[in-house]
Amino acid sequence: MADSVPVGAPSVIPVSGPASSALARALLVAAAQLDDLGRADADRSTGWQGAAATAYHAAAARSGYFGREAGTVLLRAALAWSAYQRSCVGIAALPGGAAREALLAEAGSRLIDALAAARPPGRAGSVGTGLSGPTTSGIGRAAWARLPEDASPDRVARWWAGLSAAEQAAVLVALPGPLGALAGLPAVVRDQANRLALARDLSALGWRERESALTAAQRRTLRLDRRIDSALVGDSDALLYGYDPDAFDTDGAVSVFTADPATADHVAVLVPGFTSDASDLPDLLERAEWLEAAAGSHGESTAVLAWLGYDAPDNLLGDADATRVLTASAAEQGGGLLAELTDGLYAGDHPRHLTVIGHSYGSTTAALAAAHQGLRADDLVLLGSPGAGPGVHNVDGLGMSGGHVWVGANSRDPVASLGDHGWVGGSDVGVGLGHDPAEEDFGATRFHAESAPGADAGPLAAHGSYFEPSGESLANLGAIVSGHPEQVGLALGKTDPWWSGPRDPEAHRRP
Amino acid sequence: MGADHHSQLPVAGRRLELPGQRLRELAGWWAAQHADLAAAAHDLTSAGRLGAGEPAPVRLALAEFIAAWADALGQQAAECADLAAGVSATEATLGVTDLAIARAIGSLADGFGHG
Repeated sequence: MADSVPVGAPSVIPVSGPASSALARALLVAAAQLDDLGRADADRSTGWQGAAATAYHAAAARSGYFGREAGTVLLRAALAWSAYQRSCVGIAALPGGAAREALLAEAGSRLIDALAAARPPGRAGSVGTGLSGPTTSGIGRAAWARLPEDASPDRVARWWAGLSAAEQAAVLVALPGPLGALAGLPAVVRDQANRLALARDLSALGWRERESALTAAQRRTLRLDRRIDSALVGDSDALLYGYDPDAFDTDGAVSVFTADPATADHVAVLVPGFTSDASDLPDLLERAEWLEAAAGSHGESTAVLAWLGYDAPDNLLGDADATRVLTASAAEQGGGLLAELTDGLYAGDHPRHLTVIGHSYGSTTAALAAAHQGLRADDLVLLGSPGAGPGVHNVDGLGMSGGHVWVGANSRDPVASLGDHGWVGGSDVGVGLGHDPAEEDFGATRFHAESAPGADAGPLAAHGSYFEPSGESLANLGAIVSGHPEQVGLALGKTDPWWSGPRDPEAHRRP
Repeated sequence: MGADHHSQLPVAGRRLELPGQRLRELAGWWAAQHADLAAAAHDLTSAGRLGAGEPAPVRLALAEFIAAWADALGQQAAECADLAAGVSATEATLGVTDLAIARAIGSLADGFGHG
């Protein structure tokens, strides 16, 4: 059959794109749903007896059989489609001519053969017998069992690389949730797994909504899932790197890359501050895209991660969580998660230049990750910081190499004035969360970060100004992230002379 | 019928012994399977339509493949819906007659439950 299949117009080279990605995802989602159905005859009705029970068990067994068989067959088709996509990408890069046409014909023939062999299994087959080989679930769970508990990200990366393509796909379909959270996997794999998990959650919760059977927690989760789904629609480059709607008392955890970090020249991670949770993804992702564009203006590609992966305090003042803002406990915990995140990134995607950017309380989180958790990053940026964390008096305490700790502090940002200023604060327990990293004595490199002319001059606006598309802060962030320190506009640090209060040289400068 | 009514009704010398709550959960599971598979069939059909840019033989093979699978998934989804309805009927009619329920479900499983 392979030799007899003609191929269409030579100019048509199907390559990876929204259409082929959508089909790959649809095939995997369907395989995952069938895998679920394959457990239909699991022991859910123990003790039910009688004619109705007999009829039920027979029907459930038949459905379960179909689910296992069909899920396995459909997974094979998904693998064939992916292989075809990869072949076509490679063929598209070749010079035109007969050789290319022959390769294209061969790839098409292989796919056609595979699709022909992947017909749906018959529905009248004998119940519970006749499985032709290991099922998707069986393959996936066996492969998963070979991963040691608490494996390091490097160990995870080796485990994944050691699986066959069929095993990888089976794990993806059988265990999308756990796989999507695994530090050390490439972002493209985590994206596939998390999108599968999201699609399945949306489907299941959508049904419960139609049946008016949602609990309050499920309603919140469904709202969050739809928000995440909407944020991803229309951005074919975005990768759903983390997805856990149940994390942090159902506040949820989510993280999205603007592009593939494995192929980008530069990678950045955005760590947001107080009040942020998973529902803030659209806003944080927008900032990530602005940063990606600013960094990209220097001529190289950048992937930015909008990371909502730690339990940030819910409010600055006025609610039950308010006291947590003024302590660093959430930042300490978040710092541990941030350090794990970057370890996973290095193991899975090998970024060549990684910058971590913490804003507001997120700057304390990032600083504490560097100070106490061995955060791996080439550059660290602290924006609108209420303090670098208890016990961190200068850049030496952050364990970063010289010139790679940056500070953006808008002179009108009240949060950036909360940190200790030597003579005024004088201790680790000041108004804010440790030493002000924008102070000259701290030793970080401060850059221009004043609001753009004509921008809202209010204090809250100043605190949120660091990613304004027209502002100097974003331009400087772009230069840092893209590895162009020589193009960063440098500012003088704050001082705190003994004869007066803190002084900020930036207060009188206009961008 | 109480929410957790435990049916132990003598029917033709046998008893139904699954609590009402568990039957409701079982019905919910099947209804969710119905929804998931119906959605999967729909998504597959939609994604397949996007493949119009493929070479003609591939496009044709894809169209046949997707039509067959959409049909199979749709059939299975319908069967899941019937099972959900059957189990719901079981829960709703506990105490009526086991055999009537068996007939309702039995039509789904050839050779089973007809008496």
